[in-house]
Amino acid sequence: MAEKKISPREFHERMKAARKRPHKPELIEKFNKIVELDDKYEREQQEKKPTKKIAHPPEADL
Amino acid sequence: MGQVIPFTEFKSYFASTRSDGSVAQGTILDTNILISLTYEVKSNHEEVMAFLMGCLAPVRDQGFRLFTTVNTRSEFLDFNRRLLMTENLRDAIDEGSPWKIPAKAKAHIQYQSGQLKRREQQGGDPVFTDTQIKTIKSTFSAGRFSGNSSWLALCEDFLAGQLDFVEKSLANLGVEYISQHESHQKDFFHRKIDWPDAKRIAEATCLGLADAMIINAFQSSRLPFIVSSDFDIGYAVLATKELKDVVMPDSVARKYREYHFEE
Repeated sequence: MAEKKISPREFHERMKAARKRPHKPELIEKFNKIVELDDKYEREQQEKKPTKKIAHPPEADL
Repeated sequence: MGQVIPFTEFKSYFASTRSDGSVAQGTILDTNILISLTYEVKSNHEEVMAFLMGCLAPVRDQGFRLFTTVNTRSEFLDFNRRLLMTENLRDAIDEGSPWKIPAKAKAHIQYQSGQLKRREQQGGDPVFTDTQIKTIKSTFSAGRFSGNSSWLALCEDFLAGQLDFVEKSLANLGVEYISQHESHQKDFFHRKIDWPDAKRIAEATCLGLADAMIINAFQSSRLPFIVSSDFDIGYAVLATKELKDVVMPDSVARKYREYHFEE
């Protein structure tokens, strides 16, 4: 027997519900972990950068 | 020349097509009709919903068939892809969201959301364009240690399985895919869908090629009418002698009163 067709209103309700589908906790965790590692890496890179020494102007010895 | 039939005159028009044995019992739903039905933000959502509930669903239940073409189906899926990404990204930067969106990406999403508000005020859809999505995507990737991993994780959560769900829902609504390549649908066509014909349709009224391909598939079919809310589709039908009828929301059909098409 053929499946009963849904009404246009039911179709709309289904599509609306799909837009509000709950997020998967494991994917949120995965995403947040990636961002956290990125931030940590960037901080480390910043710390590795040599600090610029200000040139000693010759007139300072005068 | 074809006719533009307003929704409110559909029932009497439909009765006349039923008595014509040479036409197939079915119609093509244009992308904008599917979008208006799905997306309550569209201004003609209620008008389209009422038409489908009151006119098309009852005849569908009596065997009248509803179709999408390869173009209308892909455009509808594409709209859903952009809509899902837009709404999920905007939710993800909300205060209290569990997603730790990087500051640079958050700033871009906020900026692009501001553009959407302006577009909405001008009557457009508050849905990111592909250009906007590409800009946001790049902020999740460039220069970061993980490359594109964070963006891929977002896509997995926001989109995975959703396009299948859209197609399954269309099937549950009774909307089928029409194709000349399906042997069991051969009777729905009276000629081969040919590329040069699409170009001629586009040239006649400067219709976009994507729309011209939809009209060309429709013209090659034995279906009596197409359902659309696209002004350009109605314009093409009224301006071109060979084209068939289009059923449209009254709010769109009214606009042609200001034009004078030769009979």
